Amino acid sequence: MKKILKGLGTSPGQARGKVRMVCGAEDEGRFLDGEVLVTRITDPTMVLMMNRAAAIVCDIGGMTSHPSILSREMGIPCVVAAKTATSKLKDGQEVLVDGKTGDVFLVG
Amino acid sequence: MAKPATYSWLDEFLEAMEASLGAMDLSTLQPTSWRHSQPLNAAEWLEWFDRIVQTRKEKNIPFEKIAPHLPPDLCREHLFFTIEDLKTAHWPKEKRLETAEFFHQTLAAQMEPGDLFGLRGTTKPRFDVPAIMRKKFRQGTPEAARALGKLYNAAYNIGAALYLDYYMGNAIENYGPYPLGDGRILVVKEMRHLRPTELWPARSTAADRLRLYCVYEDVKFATDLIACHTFYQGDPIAGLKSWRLEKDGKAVTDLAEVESIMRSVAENGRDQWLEVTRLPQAQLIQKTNLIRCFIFKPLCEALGLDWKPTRRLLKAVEGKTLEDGWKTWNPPKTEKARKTYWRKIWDPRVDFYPDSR
Repeated sequence: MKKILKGLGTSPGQARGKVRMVCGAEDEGRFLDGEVLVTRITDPTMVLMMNRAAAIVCDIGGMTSHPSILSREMGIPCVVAAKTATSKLKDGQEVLVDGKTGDVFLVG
Repeated sequence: MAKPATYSWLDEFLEAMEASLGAMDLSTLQPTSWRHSQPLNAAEWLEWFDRIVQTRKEKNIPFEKIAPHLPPDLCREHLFFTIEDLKTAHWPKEKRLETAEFFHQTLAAQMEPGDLFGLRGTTKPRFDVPAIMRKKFRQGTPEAARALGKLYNAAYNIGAALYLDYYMGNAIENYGPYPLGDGRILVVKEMRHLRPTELWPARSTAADRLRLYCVYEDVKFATDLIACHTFYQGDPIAGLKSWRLEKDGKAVTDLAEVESIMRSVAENGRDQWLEVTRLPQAQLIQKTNLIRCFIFKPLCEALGLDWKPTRRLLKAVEGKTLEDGWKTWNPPKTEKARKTYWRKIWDPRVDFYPDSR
């Protein structure tokens, strides 16, 4: 596994899944259960996708930002402030997200 | 009201403010922030709000009587929002302290003593915990914990869509932790005002109010000054021992119904947010006015006041942009100096204003 990103881990736990880049509600139809939701920052158009995500990774954010609070409530890992997540990651890549350390690894 | 000599409670408030706002990335607030919108009519807002302060005083209404109309989180958050307005509008110290004291007394009248501002991680209104625990709870399972987490996610999002990120305390507030013994705690998650037809066109959202009681074991729970900022140590999924959900006052016992409510709230929240993002900026600014006044509707009604924004309040923002509001602030570039700047802004005892050097 190769570490591809380092951000701020804001909801502990590890999860593995395929990357799905999300911009808004228009991505709802193609988002699959257990994918890793990658976006600049989550917003309420992504609520149903957040509920199906294995983990969330955002370019910006802090410990009390929208994705961080809600990932803790749902018990899924979250990494924010990853800066280049939306430019470095691509749809379909398999990643491991560590919500404690803030590391995101490319699998395989 | 016995007037405190030094307003020493403000020192704890300032510590709590630094702890809470210091951990926030304000660039994530969408579609704008209070520091963009509120300065546009800070003076007119304060005139509007002062009716509440003066009416309570003139009628000599005890704070215990008005406290149910302004829950803890709203007291805390609107204390700091209003202090920023007081400084923006250069109100004199005496009026600043009187206004701040109004929020403080309303908060103190409903809270357990010891941590009024969440500095020690709690938000604890005086609840009859034994009476709550006599209610019927469902057994906690990881499946239930996940379903309830998704419901909370849905409610949080519709809260943000209805009240914007910074006024969403009107929808989401968390209370606790209340120790129950044997390593167990009670946490209460309040999700309310989810169908505010005074603000937005009616939606088919399945609930106006949801109240979730969670009993956790071997889990530590905390909030900060802002009660939707929740933190856990331990595993809140495996650690959920029992739960009770009330939808508009009625118990929900079936996870399929939880899922159905979640879907309705989530879909309406998503669509509501799309409506917010389509608003032209001038309408968004007027909407922030309406939302802010609406938060005080129960309190206004209890005092016999009209809650709606005045013509003067609405007119004050005409022709202004959110960028105009943001330009109010003049924080220094270095972190240490910036911390000092904000602390002086937030302290109503100090004659320091956004444009001070």
